[in-house]
Amino acid sequence: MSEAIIRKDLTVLGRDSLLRALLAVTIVLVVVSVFTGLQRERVFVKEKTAALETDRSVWMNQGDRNPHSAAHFSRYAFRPASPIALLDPGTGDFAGLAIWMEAHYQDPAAFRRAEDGGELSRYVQLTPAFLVLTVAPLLVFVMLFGSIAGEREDRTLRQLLASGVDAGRFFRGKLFAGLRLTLGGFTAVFLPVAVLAALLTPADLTGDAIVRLFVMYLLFAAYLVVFVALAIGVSAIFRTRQSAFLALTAVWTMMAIVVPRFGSDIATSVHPQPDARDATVQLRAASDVYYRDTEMREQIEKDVLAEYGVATIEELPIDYGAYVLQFSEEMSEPLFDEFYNGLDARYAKQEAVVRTLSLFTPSIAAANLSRGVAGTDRIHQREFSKAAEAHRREMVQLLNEDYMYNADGAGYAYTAGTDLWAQFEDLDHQVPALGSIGRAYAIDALFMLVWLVAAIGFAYWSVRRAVTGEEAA
Amino acid sequence: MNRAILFQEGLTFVRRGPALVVLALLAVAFAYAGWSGDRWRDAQTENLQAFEARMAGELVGFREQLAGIESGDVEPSPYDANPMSILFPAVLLPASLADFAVGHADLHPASAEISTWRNLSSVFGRYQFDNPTTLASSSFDVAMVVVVLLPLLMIAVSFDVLAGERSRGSLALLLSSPLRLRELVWTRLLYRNGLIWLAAGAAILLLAIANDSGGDRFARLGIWFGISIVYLLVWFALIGYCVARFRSAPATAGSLVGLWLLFTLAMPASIATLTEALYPTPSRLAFLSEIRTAQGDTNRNLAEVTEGFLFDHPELTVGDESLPSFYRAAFLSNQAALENTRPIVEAYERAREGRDRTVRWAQFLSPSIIAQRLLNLSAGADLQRQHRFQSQVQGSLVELGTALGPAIVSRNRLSVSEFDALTPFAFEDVSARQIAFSAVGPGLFLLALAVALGFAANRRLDEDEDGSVAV
Repeated sequence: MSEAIIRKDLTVLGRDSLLRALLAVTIVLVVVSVFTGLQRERVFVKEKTAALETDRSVWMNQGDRNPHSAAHFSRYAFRPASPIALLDPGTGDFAGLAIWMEAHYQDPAAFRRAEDGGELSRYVQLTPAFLVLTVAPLLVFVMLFGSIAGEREDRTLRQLLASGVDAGRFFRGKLFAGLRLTLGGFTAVFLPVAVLAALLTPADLTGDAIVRLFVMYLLFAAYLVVFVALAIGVSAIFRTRQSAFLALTAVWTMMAIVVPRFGSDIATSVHPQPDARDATVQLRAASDVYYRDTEMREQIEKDVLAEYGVATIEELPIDYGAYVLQFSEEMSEPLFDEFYNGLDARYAKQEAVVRTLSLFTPSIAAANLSRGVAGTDRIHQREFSKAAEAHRREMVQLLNEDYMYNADGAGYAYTAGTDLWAQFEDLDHQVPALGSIGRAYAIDALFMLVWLVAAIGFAYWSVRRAVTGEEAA
Repeated sequence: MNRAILFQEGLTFVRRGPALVVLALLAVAFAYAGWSGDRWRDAQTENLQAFEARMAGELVGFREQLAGIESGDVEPSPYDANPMSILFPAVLLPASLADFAVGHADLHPASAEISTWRNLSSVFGRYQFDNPTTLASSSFDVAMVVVVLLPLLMIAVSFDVLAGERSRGSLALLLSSPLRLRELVWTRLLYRNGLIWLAAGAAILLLAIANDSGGDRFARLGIWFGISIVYLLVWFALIGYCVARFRSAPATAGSLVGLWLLFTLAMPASIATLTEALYPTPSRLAFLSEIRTAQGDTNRNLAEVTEGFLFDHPELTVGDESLPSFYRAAFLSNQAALENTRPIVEAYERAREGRDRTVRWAQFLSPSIIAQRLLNLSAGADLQRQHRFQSQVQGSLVELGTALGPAIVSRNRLSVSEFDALTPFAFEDVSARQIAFSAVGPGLFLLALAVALGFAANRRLDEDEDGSVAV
């Protein structure tokens, strides 16, 4: 009997011209979003490769120079491209593409692509993830609002019940009809998109990227199941299509539009974004910590002289200026760590506030997971920043130590050349494997699971209630 | 206005729960958006003013040192009162109505340090400290409530104005009285939407007064009101048209929600994608590469570049040679970077102009785009304002380089009078009058669209009435 209900629903939905038109428009939007995403990523990889080559060339051809002067000029680290970023660019455009690995400073990532966006890009971005996370739930609602309310309004539910259908079968029939159409349509669109993404991605396609594509499919499918169940549950509450439609539109507006935006806004109200000027002052203070402390400077000088058993700086077998440069770097490092860890903690608090609102919508958890799986979220950005900072510290130490041990009394006039520059390689940071950072997404995954179970439970409860009500009537 | 209809609406609509829920939602949305916007604007203003005051203090110290050296009271080291140490702050303070729309203001730099230590890539300092996750989500501001939420609420309360009569088949009976169908529809729509508009208008006015920060706030508010009214009139007429066009409530609601989705989400997203594809900006990384190349070349050929500069300025006499060469190198490499990146900056400008031009035309495809653009413009949260600030900062940086270059390369100090003649940065904003002027064309278009839709709705309703009465 469930199969008959499924077949009937699929036939009715297949005849709906409004639905067919909406699906056609959505497919066009999917195609446009995939190709523009692909184009964006190709341009990014091309630009990044060119910038890396120029940076390397400028570094290698800087000529003979004092190593510390070279450390000031330094090099840039460029963020790796995620192979499936075209499906969900996530927060990638709002985080910097490159980090200057200069001496004395741990810089934030600069050059955010969002700053090059046009006037309308700030409000909404046409991406495959946007279409799945925001538009697809509305399509599901438009498709299913009359699923049970229609049966009640047309009084066909009574006929069905009279023919011996029980609540469980009726629920399964309605749910599977919705799922078959939704997941069938989604799979038919996602599969070619995933294959295209895998074949045409300008970044290196790794085994991890394939895993990520598969996880993304599961995530989006689960997300759509939640909305199918919600649609059926809400439809069963109301006696008319009109009321069900209105309620589902309200649910969609709140879940897909209002709550996510509100969450993000309230998060920055409760835990404000850091003031850039203030942050710069703090970074300067961390950078200057050694130079501002006269007592310590005197003490360090005494310690170094004692360590080498000499009376004056001139007698030291090392360049004292270079020693101080490296010492000051090492003094600043924990302060930089403190600053950036504090920043991370603040971001985590903001995200926790947003995540709390996952109680009201599955969209927040799904968006967090989608960005994470696509490799375009803050966690991936932080991994890149950490790798760049480790590389910077290594590089500055290398340059300072060369200066310290080889200056031979020449002081700032000492110069090194290509042999030294060649020791400083490009930052080789790849997108981390999903398995290695998967724990960061545990709470969001849990929220999704809870939503999945709760939505199906709600749908069952609601259908059962409607059936009981009809039977009683 | 038919009193009987109004009385009936009072009984059936206002006393029903949903109307109160809608009004309550509206009040909460405005109250939160206003509070959040006010907090953001005040914090931003305070931070920027503190930055400006700190920089101004440093300039005072610099001048005192310079005056001491000039009068012979101070025995200077080579580093004292060096022209490279002159740093003018540049700030983009939030406009007087900034609490109503954040727009692009949270993404772009709002301050700069205009100094010869800086080039175009570093003049705005380190400012990318915001959480990208929250930054990627646009703000929940008053503009969002007006452009996105209000039309939805209007649809929610209006789509079924004729549904009851039509589903019960009592419309023909109702129209056998002297009542005209158009009168019934518009009166009901006006009653239901009027409540929302009154609540929204009162909320906006209350926020404007409560969060008043002076300046041209009320002139901007007038423009804001004008735009909001014509925008909401378009939705009002569109709802009227759909009510007239579709016979069932679900079809009316479905078409209206579809149009809302099209105008507020699909169209802005598609136009944004299209304009960015048509007018791509040059790569930021290519820009960076040019700067790095120019700096590398200057550092490598410092002696020749310095010689060339001094050759171009034969009037200069070289000053204190004990000053480390990296002062001169930094200045010259930044000047070279400015010169090398000029074609890229010009390409940026061309791409921006192309995008602006396209959006100016494409906005007529969606009333929501027009409203969003104009509301941002009147709140001072538009992208052009950010670009104007950036371009004025760049101009100021070039000006400072030209004024200080000879002294820096020849390792001399400025005189106090030369220092006093330097022009600090002051942002030149557009006036409320200019904003109003920009809003006239699109505003009139919205008005014309509303009138056209209203006429079309009336025509449909008249046809419908004739049909119903004939039945």
